[in-house]
Amino acid sequence: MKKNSRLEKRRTEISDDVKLFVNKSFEIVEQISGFLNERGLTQKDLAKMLGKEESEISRWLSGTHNFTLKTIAKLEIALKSPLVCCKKQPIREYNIFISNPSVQFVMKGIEGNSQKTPSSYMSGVYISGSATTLDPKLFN
Amino acid sequence: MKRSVKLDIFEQHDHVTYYSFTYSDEESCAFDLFLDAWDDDDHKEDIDIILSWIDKMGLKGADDGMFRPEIGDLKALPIDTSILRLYCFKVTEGIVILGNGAEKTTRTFNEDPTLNAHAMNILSIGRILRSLIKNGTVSANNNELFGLKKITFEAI
Repeated sequence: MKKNSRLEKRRTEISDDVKLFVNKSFEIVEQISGFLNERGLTQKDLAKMLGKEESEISRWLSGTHNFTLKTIAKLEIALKSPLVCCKKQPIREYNIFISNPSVQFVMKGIEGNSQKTPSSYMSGVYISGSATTLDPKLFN
Repeated sequence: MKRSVKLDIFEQHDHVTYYSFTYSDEESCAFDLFLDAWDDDDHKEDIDIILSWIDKMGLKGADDGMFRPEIGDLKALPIDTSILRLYCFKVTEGIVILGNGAEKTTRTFNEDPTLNAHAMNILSIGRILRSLIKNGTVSANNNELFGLKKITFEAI
Protein backbone atom coordinates (compact mmCIF):
# COMPACT_ATOMS: atom_id res chain seq x y z
CA MET A 1 0.00 0.00 0.00
CA LYS A 2 1.36 3.37 -0.98
CA LYS A 3 2.06 5.72 1.93
CA ASN A 4 2.96 9.37 1.70
CA SER A 5 6.27 10.11 3.43
CA ARG A 6 5.21 13.63 4.41
CA LEU A 7 2.04 12.33 6.09
CA GLU A 8 3.89 9.46 7.72
CA LYS A 9 6.28 11.92 9.35
CA ARG A 10 3.48 14.34 10.27
CA ARG A 11 1.45 11.54 11.87
CA THR A 12 4.13 11.07 14.50
CA GLU A 13 3.41 14.64 15.66
CA ILE A 14 -0.34 14.14 16.16
CA SER A 15 -1.11 14.74 19.81
CA ASP A 16 -2.54 11.87 21.85
CA ASP A 17 -5.51 13.97 22.96
CA VAL A 18 -6.54 14.59 19.34
CA LYS A 19 -6.27 10.88 18.54
CA LEU A 20 -8.43 10.12 21.57
CA PHE A 21 -10.88 12.92 20.67
CA VAL A 22 -11.35 11.55 17.16
CA ASN A 23 -11.77 7.99 18.44
CA LYS A 24 -14.28 9.02 21.10
CA SER A 25 -16.23 11.20 18.66
CA PHE A 26 -16.41 8.31 16.27
CA GLU A 27 -17.53 5.89 18.98
CA ILE A 28 -20.27 8.23 20.20
CA VAL A 29 -21.57 8.78 16.67
CA GLU A 30 -21.53 5.03 16.01
CA GLN A 31 -23.45 4.41 19.23
CA ILE A 32 -26.07 7.04 18.41
CA SER A 33 -26.49 5.66 14.89
CA GLY A 34 -26.72 2.13 16.32
CA PHE A 35 -29.43 3.09 18.82
CA LEU A 36 -31.38 4.89 16.09
CA ASN A 37 -31.18 1.83 13.83
CA GLU A 38 -32.18 -0.51 16.65
CA ARG A 39 -35.28 1.53 17.32
CA GLY A 40 -36.11 2.19 13.71
CA LEU A 41 -35.69 5.92 14.25
CA THR A 42 -34.33 8.46 11.77
CA GLN A 43 -32.23 11.58 12.29
CA LYS A 44 -35.46 13.48 11.69
CA ASP A 45 -37.14 11.65 14.60
CA LEU A 46 -34.19 12.43 16.85
CA ALA A 47 -34.27 16.08 15.80
CA LYS A 48 -37.98 16.20 16.74
CA MET A 49 -37.32 14.55 20.11
CA LEU A 50 -34.63 17.10 20.90
CA GLY A 51 -36.41 20.10 19.42
CA LYS A 52 -33.56 20.66 16.94
CA GLU A 53 -33.26 21.13 13.20
CA GLU A 54 -32.51 17.94 11.28
CA SER A 55 -29.47 19.64 9.75
CA GLU A 56 -28.00 20.12 13.23
CA ILE A 57 -28.46 16.44 14.09
CA SER A 58 -26.93 15.52 10.75
CA ARG A 59 -23.90 17.65 11.61
CA TRP A 60 -23.65 16.01 15.04
CA LEU A 61 -23.66 12.60 13.42
CA SER A 62 -21.08 13.60 10.82
CA GLY A 63 -18.11 12.90 13.03
CA THR A 64 -15.96 15.33 14.95
CA HIS A 65 -18.71 17.31 16.67
CA ASN A 66 -17.49 18.58 19.99
CA PHE A 67 -20.34 17.20 22.15
CA THR A 68 -20.90 18.93 25.46
CA LEU A 69 -21.95 16.91 28.48
CA LYS A 70 -25.28 18.70 28.33
CA THR A 71 -25.87 17.53 24.76
CA ILE A 72 -24.82 14.00 25.68
CA ALA A 73 -27.27 14.04 28.61
CA LYS A 74 -30.09 15.16 26.30
CA LEU A 75 -29.19 12.47 23.78
CA GLU A 76 -29.06 9.80 26.49
CA ILE A 77 -32.54 10.78 27.67
CA ALA A 78 -33.93 10.87 24.15
CA LEU A 79 -32.37 7.54 23.23
CA LYS A 80 -33.05 6.04 26.68
CA SER A 81 -29.53 4.63 26.55
CA PRO A 82 -26.19 5.60 28.04
CA LEU A 83 -23.67 6.96 25.54
CA VAL A 84 -20.80 7.73 27.86
CA CYS A 85 -20.09 5.55 30.87
CA CYS A 86 -17.64 6.45 33.60
CA LYS A 87 -16.07 3.24 34.79
CA LYS A 88 -16.23 2.92 38.54
CA GLN A 89 -13.12 1.45 40.12
CA PRO A 90 -14.06 -1.70 42.03
CA ILE A 91 -13.66 -1.45 45.81
CA ARG A 92 -11.91 -4.45 47.30
CA GLU A 93 -11.39 -5.46 50.85
CA TYR A 94 -7.90 -6.22 52.01
CA ASN A 95 -6.95 -8.23 55.05
CA ILE A 96 -3.93 -6.90 56.87
CA PHE A 97 -2.23 -9.11 59.38
CA ILE A 98 0.10 -7.64 61.92
CA SER A 99 2.43 -10.19 63.48
CA ASN A 100 3.31 -8.24 66.59
CA PRO A 101 1.00 -7.27 68.16
CA SER A 102 -1.26 -9.91 66.68
CA VAL A 103 -4.18 -7.83 65.47
CA GLN A 104 -6.27 -8.32 62.38
CA PHE A 105 -8.35 -5.62 60.70
CA VAL A 106 -9.77 -4.84 57.30
CA MET A 107 -9.03 -1.91 55.05
CA LYS A 108 -10.69 -0.86 51.83
CA GLY A 109 -8.62 0.03 48.84
CA ILE A 110 -9.08 0.65 45.15
CA GLU A 111 -7.86 -2.07 42.87
CA GLY A 112 -4.89 -1.17 40.80
CA ASN A 113 -3.98 1.92 42.81
CA SER A 114 -1.38 0.57 45.13
CA GLN A 115 0.77 3.00 46.99
CA LYS A 116 3.97 2.26 48.76
CA THR A 117 3.89 2.58 52.48
CA PRO A 118 6.96 3.87 54.30
CA SER A 119 9.04 0.89 55.32
CA SER A 120 9.19 2.08 58.97
CA TYR A 121 5.48 1.33 59.23
CA MET A 122 5.84 -1.94 57.43
CA SER A 123 8.17 -3.86 59.71
CA GLY A 124 6.41 -6.95 60.85
CA VAL A 125 3.35 -6.14 58.74
CA TYR A 126 2.18 -8.40 55.96
CA ILE A 127 -0.38 -6.99 53.58
CA SER A 128 -2.42 -9.17 51.28
CA GLY A 129 -3.33 -7.06 48.25
CA SER A 130 -2.73 -3.38 47.86
CA ALA A 131 -4.42 -0.31 49.24
CA THR A 132 -4.73 3.27 48.09
CA THR A 133 -3.53 4.69 51.38
CA LEU A 134 -2.40 3.20 54.62
CA ASP A 135 -2.93 5.29 57.68
CA PRO A 136 0.29 5.35 59.78
CA LYS A 137 -1.85 5.63 62.93
CA LEU A 138 -2.99 2.08 62.34
CA PHE A 139 0.50 0.84 62.94
CA ASN A 140 1.38 2.85 66.03
CA MET B 1 -10.03 29.64 -17.86
CA LYS B 2 -9.34 26.06 -18.95
CA ARG B 3 -6.93 24.17 -16.71
CA SER B 4 -5.72 20.60 -16.72
CA VAL B 5 -5.01 18.36 -13.79
CA LYS B 6 -3.40 14.99 -13.29
CA LEU B 7 -4.79 12.73 -10.58
CA ASP B 8 -2.38 10.58 -8.60
CA ILE B 9 -2.67 8.29 -5.62
CA PHE B 10 -1.71 10.24 -2.51
CA GLU B 11 -2.07 7.42 0.00
CA GLN B 12 -3.62 4.00 0.23
CA HIS B 13 -5.43 2.75 3.30
CA ASP B 14 -7.23 -0.53 4.02
CA HIS B 15 -10.59 0.68 2.73
CA VAL B 16 -9.92 4.00 1.03
CA THR B 17 -7.45 5.20 -1.58
CA TYR B 18 -6.85 8.91 -1.36
CA TYR B 19 -6.06 10.75 -4.58
CA SER B 20 -5.03 14.34 -5.08
CA PHE B 21 -4.63 16.39 -8.24
CA THR B 22 -1.83 18.54 -9.61
CA TYR B 23 -2.47 21.40 -12.03
CA SER B 24 -0.31 21.17 -15.15
CA ASP B 25 1.30 24.52 -14.30
CA GLU B 26 2.07 23.59 -10.67
CA GLU B 27 4.50 21.20 -9.04
CA SER B 28 2.68 20.23 -5.86
CA CYS B 29 -0.66 18.50 -5.62
CA ALA B 30 -3.65 20.28 -4.10
CA PHE B 31 -3.43 18.48 -0.75
CA ASP B 32 0.28 19.26 -0.41
CA LEU B 33 -0.51 22.90 -1.14
CA PHE B 34 -3.14 22.77 1.61
CA LEU B 35 -0.61 21.39 4.08
CA ASP B 36 2.01 23.94 2.95
CA ALA B 37 -0.44 26.74 3.66
CA TRP B 38 -2.06 25.58 6.89
CA ASP B 39 0.15 23.14 8.75
CA ASP B 40 1.58 25.69 11.15
CA ASP B 41 1.54 26.27 14.91
CA ASP B 42 -1.83 28.08 14.79
CA HIS B 43 -3.54 25.21 12.99
CA LYS B 44 -1.68 22.22 14.41
CA GLU B 45 -4.75 20.82 16.15
CA ASP B 46 -6.93 21.24 13.04
CA ILE B 47 -4.40 19.42 10.90
CA ASP B 48 -4.04 16.75 13.62
CA ILE B 49 -7.80 16.23 13.48
CA ILE B 50 -7.87 16.12 9.68
CA LEU B 51 -5.07 13.56 9.54
CA SER B 52 -6.60 11.45 12.31
CA TRP B 53 -9.91 11.56 10.49
CA ILE B 54 -8.28 10.54 7.19
CA ASP B 55 -6.77 7.56 9.01
CA LYS B 56 -10.06 6.66 10.68
CA MET B 57 -11.94 6.88 7.39
CA GLY B 58 -9.21 4.84 5.74
CA LEU B 59 -9.97 2.02 8.16
CA LYS B 60 -13.76 2.21 7.91
CA GLY B 61 -14.53 3.40 4.37
CA ALA B 62 -15.67 6.81 3.19
CA ASP B 63 -19.21 6.83 4.47
CA ASP B 64 -21.16 10.01 3.72
CA GLY B 65 -21.60 10.51 7.44
CA MET B 66 -17.86 10.90 7.91
CA PHE B 67 -17.69 14.21 6.06
CA ARG B 68 -19.09 17.64 6.47
CA PRO B 69 -21.73 17.75 3.72
CA GLU B 70 -21.36 20.52 1.12
CA ILE B 71 -22.85 19.98 -2.36
CA GLY B 72 -23.56 16.38 -3.40
CA ASP B 73 -20.28 14.51 -3.40
CA LEU B 74 -18.32 17.66 -2.58
CA LYS B 75 -17.42 17.19 1.08
CA ALA B 76 -15.23 18.88 3.64
CA LEU B 77 -13.08 18.00 6.64
CA PRO B 78 -12.86 18.61 9.55
CA ILE B 79 -16.41 18.37 10.64
CA ASP B 80 -17.40 20.74 13.36
CA THR B 81 -14.39 21.75 15.35
CA SER B 82 -12.75 24.37 13.22
CA ILE B 83 -13.23 27.02 10.58
CA LEU B 84 -10.54 25.36 8.47
CA ARG B 85 -12.01 23.45 5.54
CA LEU B 86 -10.31 20.82 3.44
CA TYR B 87 -12.41 20.11 0.37
CA CYS B 88 -12.74 16.53 -0.80
CA PHE B 89 -14.71 14.72 -3.47
CA LYS B 90 -16.08 11.30 -2.68
CA VAL B 91 -15.88 9.22 -5.86
CA THR B 92 -16.90 5.96 -4.17
CA GLU B 93 -16.78 4.65 -0.59
CA GLY B 94 -13.23 3.52 -1.40
CA ILE B 95 -11.95 6.47 -3.46
CA VAL B 96 -11.68 10.02 -2.17
CA ILE B 97 -9.97 12.99 -3.82
CA LEU B 98 -8.26 15.34 -1.38
CA GLY B 99 -8.19 18.92 -2.62
CA ASN B 100 -7.16 22.25 -1.22
CA GLY B 101 -8.93 24.45 1.31
CA ALA B 102 -8.73 27.45 3.59
CA GLU B 103 -10.38 29.02 6.62
CA LYS B 104 -14.08 29.68 6.15
CA THR B 105 -14.76 33.13 7.47
CA THR B 106 -17.90 33.86 5.46
CA ARG B 107 -21.37 32.39 5.91
CA THR B 108 -21.08 30.34 2.72
CA PHE B 109 -17.95 29.33 0.83
CA ASN B 110 -19.29 31.07 -2.29
CA GLU B 111 -18.83 34.42 -0.59
CA ASP B 112 -15.06 33.90 -0.34
CA PRO B 113 -13.34 33.85 -3.76
CA THR B 114 -10.44 31.63 -2.60
CA LEU B 115 -12.64 29.13 -0.83
CA ASN B 116 -15.12 29.17 -3.69
CA ALA B 117 -12.34 28.38 -6.18
CA HIS B 118 -11.05 25.47 -4.05
CA ALA B 119 -14.55 24.06 -3.61
CA MET B 120 -15.87 24.53 -7.14
CA ASN B 121 -12.70 23.35 -8.88
CA ILE B 122 -12.61 20.03 -7.04
CA LEU B 123 -16.34 19.68 -7.63
CA SER B 124 -15.79 20.17 -11.40
CA ILE B 125 -12.90 17.69 -11.42
CA GLY B 126 -14.97 15.16 -9.49
CA ARG B 127 -17.97 15.55 -11.77
CA ILE B 128 -15.86 15.07 -14.90
CA LEU B 129 -14.24 12.00 -13.32
CA ARG B 130 -17.66 10.66 -12.48
CA SER B 131 -18.76 11.07 -16.12
CA LEU B 132 -15.57 9.35 -17.34
CA ILE B 133 -16.35 6.41 -15.05
CA LYS B 134 -19.93 6.37 -16.29
CA ASN B 135 -18.94 6.27 -19.99
CA GLY B 136 -16.30 3.61 -19.34
CA THR B 137 -13.20 5.71 -20.11
CA VAL B 138 -12.08 5.28 -16.50
CA SER B 139 -12.78 2.29 -14.29
CA ALA B 140 -12.85 2.26 -10.52
CA ASN B 141 -11.93 -1.21 -9.24
CA ASN B 142 -10.58 -2.28 -5.87
CA ASN B 143 -10.40 1.32 -4.67
CA GLU B 144 -8.24 2.36 -7.63
CA LEU B 145 -8.85 4.33 -10.79
CA PHE B 146 -7.69 2.86 -14.10
CA GLY B 147 -7.43 4.50 -17.51
CA LEU B 148 -7.19 7.99 -16.09
CA LYS B 149 -4.96 10.43 -17.94
CA LYS B 150 -5.72 14.07 -17.35
CA ILE B 151 -8.82 16.10 -16.76
CA THR B 152 -9.32 19.46 -18.40
CA PHE B 153 -12.02 21.67 -17.00
CA GLU B 154 -13.21 25.25 -16.76
CA ALA B 155 -11.49 26.41 -13.59
CA ILE B 156 -12.40 29.35 -11.41
